[in-house]
Amino acid sequence: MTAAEERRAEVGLPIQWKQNGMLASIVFFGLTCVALGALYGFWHMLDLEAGLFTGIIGLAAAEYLISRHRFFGTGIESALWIGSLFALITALPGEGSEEVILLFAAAALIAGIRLRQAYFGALAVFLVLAYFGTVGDRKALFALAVLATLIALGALTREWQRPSVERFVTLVLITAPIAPAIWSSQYFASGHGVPTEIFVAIYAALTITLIAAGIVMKHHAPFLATIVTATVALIRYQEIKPFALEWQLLALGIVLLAASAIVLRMLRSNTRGFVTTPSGFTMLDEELQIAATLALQPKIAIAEVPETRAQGDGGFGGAGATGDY
Amino acid sequence: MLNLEPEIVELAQSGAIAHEEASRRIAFERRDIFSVHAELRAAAWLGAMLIASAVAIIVSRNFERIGPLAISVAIFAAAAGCYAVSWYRRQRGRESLVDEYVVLLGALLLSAGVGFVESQYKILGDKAYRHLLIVAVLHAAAAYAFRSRAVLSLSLAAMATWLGFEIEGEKWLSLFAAAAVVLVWRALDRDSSFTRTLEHFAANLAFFGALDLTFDDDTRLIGALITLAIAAAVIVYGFRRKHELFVLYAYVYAVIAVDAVIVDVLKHEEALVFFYLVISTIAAIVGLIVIHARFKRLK
Repeated sequence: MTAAEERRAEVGLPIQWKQNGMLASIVFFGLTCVALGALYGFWHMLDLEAGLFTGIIGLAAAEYLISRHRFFGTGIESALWIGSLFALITALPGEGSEEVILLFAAAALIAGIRLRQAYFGALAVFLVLAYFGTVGDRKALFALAVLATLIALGALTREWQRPSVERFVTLVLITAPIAPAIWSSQYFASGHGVPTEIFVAIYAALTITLIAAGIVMKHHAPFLATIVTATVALIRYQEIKPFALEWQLLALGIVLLAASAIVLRMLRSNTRGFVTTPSGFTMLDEELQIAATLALQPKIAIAEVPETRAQGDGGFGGAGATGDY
Repeated sequence: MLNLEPEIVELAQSGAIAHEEASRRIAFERRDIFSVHAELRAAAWLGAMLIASAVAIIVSRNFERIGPLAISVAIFAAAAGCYAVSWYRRQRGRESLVDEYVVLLGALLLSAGVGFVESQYKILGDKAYRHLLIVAVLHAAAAYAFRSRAVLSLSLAAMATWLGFEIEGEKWLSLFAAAAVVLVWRALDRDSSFTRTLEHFAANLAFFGALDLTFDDDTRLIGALITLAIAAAVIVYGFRRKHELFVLYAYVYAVIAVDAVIVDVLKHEEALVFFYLVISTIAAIVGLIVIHARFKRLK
């Protein structure tokens, strides 16, 4: 797909390629992954080289759909490409080692370039970071993650012709800062990490930089990345200043609500520049928020377990939270 | 940064959008207008969730020091305060998006408070789970008072959970009952902004009940048939309302039900199971392509 076609597709102008909206793409992607997985299982049951056969058939099917039926952005060819490449990797000789993560990263990058798929490209970047975390080189991981974040932020200032490139840069900006947080947790204690004070200081600086960049550039991505860096910095800050978690959460919650109210009040009569016209990050913002609210409803758990009917771990309270569906 | 101004101009020239809409979108592309609504909404939601979580932890960790009576009073007072502030601003015509999340915070605190009181004072005795019905009713009232879909969802979830406890025995029965209640609610509902939420809840509760039957060895076939019937109805409804989400998940539920039946028949031949899944999933994809294309033409 050319840059011009990508741009036309982004605004809804007709193009020669078959595409689906986000929801339909996700469903098609999921179904195709199921089919590929079943195909892999079928070859495996017959004691044949499952990865090789699945990969070849999947890639052939993907290219057939792209070249003959003009599929590009349906979710089907994306799943076929990345699923097939991953299947081919499993067919490679050798025992499992951390370097296989780099192979998966390369596969994601190849699929991302072929299909102009920003998610695959961002996955490739994340897997490279994951490699360093897995081998225990947490200093390199931290440095690369911060570098990737800053490069992505710088790249955002440039005018890109392809929406897929901007999307890729946005995704890297949001996901790269997560990697050091994952591998600095207690579950990945191997290797030497960055001292917590430096970690927190740099993430705090990143947070401020991202907020400033978001305001100057008038772009959503830096604000989204701010949520990540601020959250990570606060979690790591716990290790330096073990303030009671509940009071930190309370203070942060009040600050966020108050800040939202203040900013809303400041901007309420704006018709140019920063405004508060209803908008969303995705078309499913409200549904996602409702789902997250239902899933994350807090419960009050008291150490003494009172006798209640079928309450499991002693938690209670929260509409729907005590259900068993 | 991306700038799609030329494409938006072409879109306007083709007549697909009005010139006013094109001007508005071009202003967004040029960053003359930049809406922070989504960011503020996310921040307010996060703030409400963090405060509610903090309260839960504070109570859990300081229960013995504070005592159940003081905790109960404090939580209910906080919840009432949230509702009062939002109600006051609403009456003055000054409500904003943050108020929606203050109401949500009040609802979350109310849920926690009712559950806490019941656990401490055992007012409902053996039927402690009926506090969920109380919570559902209170949330429903708040949802309609403040027109909050999030609080409505809390009410629906509480109601469904209560029914799960109330109707002992088969899970599918309570799920169908919950779906029926929501359907009646939908029929009686006068607030069109709640229609879609009620419909999605009713549909998914019904599907969960049908799949519960499907995944039971004794009722697999009848469960699959019920799932297919519900899927057909939901797909038709989705087409009628031009709302694709109904069509998509109804289709997926139907595929799951059919696969469950066939896989159960073939379960002793593993290779055959995988082969069947390949064929059936490809068929499902092709079927969905046809349905999706038809839906796009309809729109």
